[in-house]
Amino acid sequence: MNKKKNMWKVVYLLPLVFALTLAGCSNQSQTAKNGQTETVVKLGVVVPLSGEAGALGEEMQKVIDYYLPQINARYAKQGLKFVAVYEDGKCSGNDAVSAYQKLTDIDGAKFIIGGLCSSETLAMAPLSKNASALVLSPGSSNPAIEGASPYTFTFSYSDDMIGKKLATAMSTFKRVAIITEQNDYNIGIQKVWLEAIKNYPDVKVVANETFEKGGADFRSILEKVKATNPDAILLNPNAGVTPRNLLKQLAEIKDWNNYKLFGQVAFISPEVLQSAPEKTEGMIVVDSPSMSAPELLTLKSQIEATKGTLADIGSYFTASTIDTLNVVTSLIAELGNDPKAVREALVSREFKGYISDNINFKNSNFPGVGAAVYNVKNGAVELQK
Amino acid sequence: MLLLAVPLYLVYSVSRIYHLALGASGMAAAYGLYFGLSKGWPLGLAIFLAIAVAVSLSLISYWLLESAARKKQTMLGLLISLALGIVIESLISIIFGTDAKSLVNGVLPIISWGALYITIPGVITILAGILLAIIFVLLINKTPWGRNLVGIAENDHLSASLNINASKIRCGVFIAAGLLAGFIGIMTVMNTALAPQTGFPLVILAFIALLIGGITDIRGTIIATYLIALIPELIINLSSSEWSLSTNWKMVIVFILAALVLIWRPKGLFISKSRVD
Amino acid sequence: MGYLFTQLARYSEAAIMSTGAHLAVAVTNIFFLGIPVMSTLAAYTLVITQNKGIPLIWSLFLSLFSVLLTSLIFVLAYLKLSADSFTVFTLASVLAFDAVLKSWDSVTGGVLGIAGIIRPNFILTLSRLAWFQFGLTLIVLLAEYIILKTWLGRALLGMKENKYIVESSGISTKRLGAAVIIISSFFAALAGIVTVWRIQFLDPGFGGLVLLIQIMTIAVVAAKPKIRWLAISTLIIVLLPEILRLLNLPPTIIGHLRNLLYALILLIIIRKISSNLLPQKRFI
Repeated sequence: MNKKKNMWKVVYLLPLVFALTLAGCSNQSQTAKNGQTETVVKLGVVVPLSGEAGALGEEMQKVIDYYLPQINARYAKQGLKFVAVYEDGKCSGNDAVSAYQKLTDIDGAKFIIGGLCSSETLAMAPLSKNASALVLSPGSSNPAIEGASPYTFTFSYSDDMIGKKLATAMSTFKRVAIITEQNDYNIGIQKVWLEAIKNYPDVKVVANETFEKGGADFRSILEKVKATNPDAILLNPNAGVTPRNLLKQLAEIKDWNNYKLFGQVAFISPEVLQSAPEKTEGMIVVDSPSMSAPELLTLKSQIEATKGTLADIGSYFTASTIDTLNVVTSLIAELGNDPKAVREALVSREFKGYISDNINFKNSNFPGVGAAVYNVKNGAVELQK
Repeated sequence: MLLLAVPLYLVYSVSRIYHLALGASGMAAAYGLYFGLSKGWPLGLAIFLAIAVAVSLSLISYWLLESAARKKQTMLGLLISLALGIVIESLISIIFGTDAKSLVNGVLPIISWGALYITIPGVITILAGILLAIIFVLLINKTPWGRNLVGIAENDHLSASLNINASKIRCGVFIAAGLLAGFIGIMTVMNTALAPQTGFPLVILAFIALLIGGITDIRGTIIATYLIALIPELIINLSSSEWSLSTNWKMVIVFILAALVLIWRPKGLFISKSRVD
Repeated sequence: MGYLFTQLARYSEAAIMSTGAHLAVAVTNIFFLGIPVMSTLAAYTLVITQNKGIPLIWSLFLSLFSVLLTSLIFVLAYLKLSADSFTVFTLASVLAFDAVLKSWDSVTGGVLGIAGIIRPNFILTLSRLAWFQFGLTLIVLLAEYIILKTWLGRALLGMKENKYIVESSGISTKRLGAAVIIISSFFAALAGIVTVWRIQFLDPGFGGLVLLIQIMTIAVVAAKPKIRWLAISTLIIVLLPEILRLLNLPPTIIGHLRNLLYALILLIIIRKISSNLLPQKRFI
């Protein structure tokens, strides 16, 4: 009987504890500091902090944690303070939706920086249609974001650009093959590439292989592709250990050399290219334009010195994260914590940033950034002139 | 990694419990080795750490599953082992993160015969697998120790009356299974990559091998292991470019294969004769 | 308020799905682990048929019908295999179905999933949806209560204790087991449908092992065949990760910590109350 009573006590107390914790949350608070009222604006951040894409989300968190104090210093005189509230999107639409709802309903965030994965952004887009929040992704590139919601934008280049550029680069070969990791970013590129390659009737796709997300053994796939005798192979894995394993296992096949390798952002890093230097020499990589502005490179190295490596997100997504923060905070400082007003300004103005001198959302949910082609020489990429 | 079916069979044979945490335990041992190597420890010390991790997890598994085994509560044992596997995987994810890691840098040395090639760790795995298969078949079918194992599984009270300590033997089997799983885990990640979530799908495949082969016969288990490894690969590799199946369909093919075999022969392809009371 | 309605909706979804698991595991001792498969199958069938322009009522019918057909496959496996083999077989089905969803992208959208799923007009807002789900939960719990009070419930409990005595009273335990699998699948399908209406996004991550661990934890914690135990168990398990979220722990570990907690709860509860999960041993 006592046990039953105790159990019911727990049942009654649990919602009370929950409610009290919720009551402690506030969305926008005003605190007096040194006689000056400070308005705290919460920026919700939805990035993968666990799972296979966790490394990417953690690096983005490093950039935000480093740069946000500089933004706060900029707007301190206006009495504005921006605070990032992180939620783990897990690179999953389901978790991103829960994260969005928690950030907007509990934390009262009106602006969401994220998702990083396209599946996160695509899942949040319909929720933002009612202007509950303005979603600004620093890294989602799936073409389906175009038109997904009037309140969802991305500072990334579109997979459309990358896929089409890769198809153009490979159009001089007769027999082409593609090996794709089964995740939203890579499947997006695969779809665009397959569609674009149809514009070149002389080019035949002899192999179109996919492997499971986070896969580690590609030997049977590589043997299958080898049997089709392609002239060019597009390697389309996600960043991390997977491209390294793919290259290493490709290098194990000693008697197969008569092909040209193509890749995307996963092969930008010298660490990846040096895992099989004899294979990657002469490889063509298509990615965002070179982020060579001295200010950006200095900032990136400062972040790396204090917070750790940014090898997985690289220069472009470091730049896009900084630009996202700069743009959204400048508009909030000017127009207030109002998603509608900020959105109107976003689609009617042009902005200057590290990713481009003309960041422009007038006719698109994408910022109008193109793609660049790189050659691999001596284990590093060089921009093709 | 499908050789994981051998330690699974060993645990099942003494306890009638499907030890679903073996895959995670194997991965944990591999992470132990990775930890030692990444800290710059000598190889021997890193291997010792991997062995210590494997033995510790085996003892924890034994402690959790022994009462279920003694009371023949096989379903509870299965649930306990599933939960333990999730605990191990979550702890690894929290400590090491979920991003894949490489145990070996650089390209692996290979041995090739014409169009065929295989990496050195792959050779070691295959040879070890064949050797283990022969050893365990002989041990279980031809030695008193093997007969004790079978006796405990059938009737541990009767075995106790013959002065066979079932608990001690089960403990020994759990440790042996854990060490085997650790060895298999390390060999697998040397050939591929190290990630916490790798163990679970492989242990399910190994169980399917156990079911298809016949849970009472180790020879059936070993043969089924190779069938499950080879048949999906053959189907995928022989599929033409128009109807090309990617490697993602492997689990589906195995599942359909298992469903067909088990509907035809519910007790597996190879069944040991047993006395009917 | 939106967050509270979301939690009410999540509680309802978990309760509906766990009712099936509770009936199978706690009441009948059938460890049917294919429940996430049924839930995901129902959700995908509903969304795909709706996207093809099929009216909602027919989509719902097709969704439930597809689940019924698939549950018959599991019934066949239940009749042919031993108890633990059936359990492992159903566990393998979770992985196999996940592979199908990811690979058959022309139908399921693959890893990109299907976004922008529209709710029915009568539950367009989150508050209405949450109350609708809660009402459905009460109906499902009432259904299980009625089942347990009728001869069917007594036969199921008897099957857990001693199936031979149930057989000798002229009740087919095979049919009982089949009925439990089909009823559990039906509840899982309902849960999948209402969940996809709330999330409005569907991808292969919808079901899977994480969901399985959650519902098995709920079913095992609610060890007794009593509705209030199920309701309380669902409340505790659903609220636990939300309390973690509010504790300002590093976001990198919250997801894994949740899984770890569920699994630890499962371990502790099974060891502590294992006798309640097993046939009651009566001494005459």
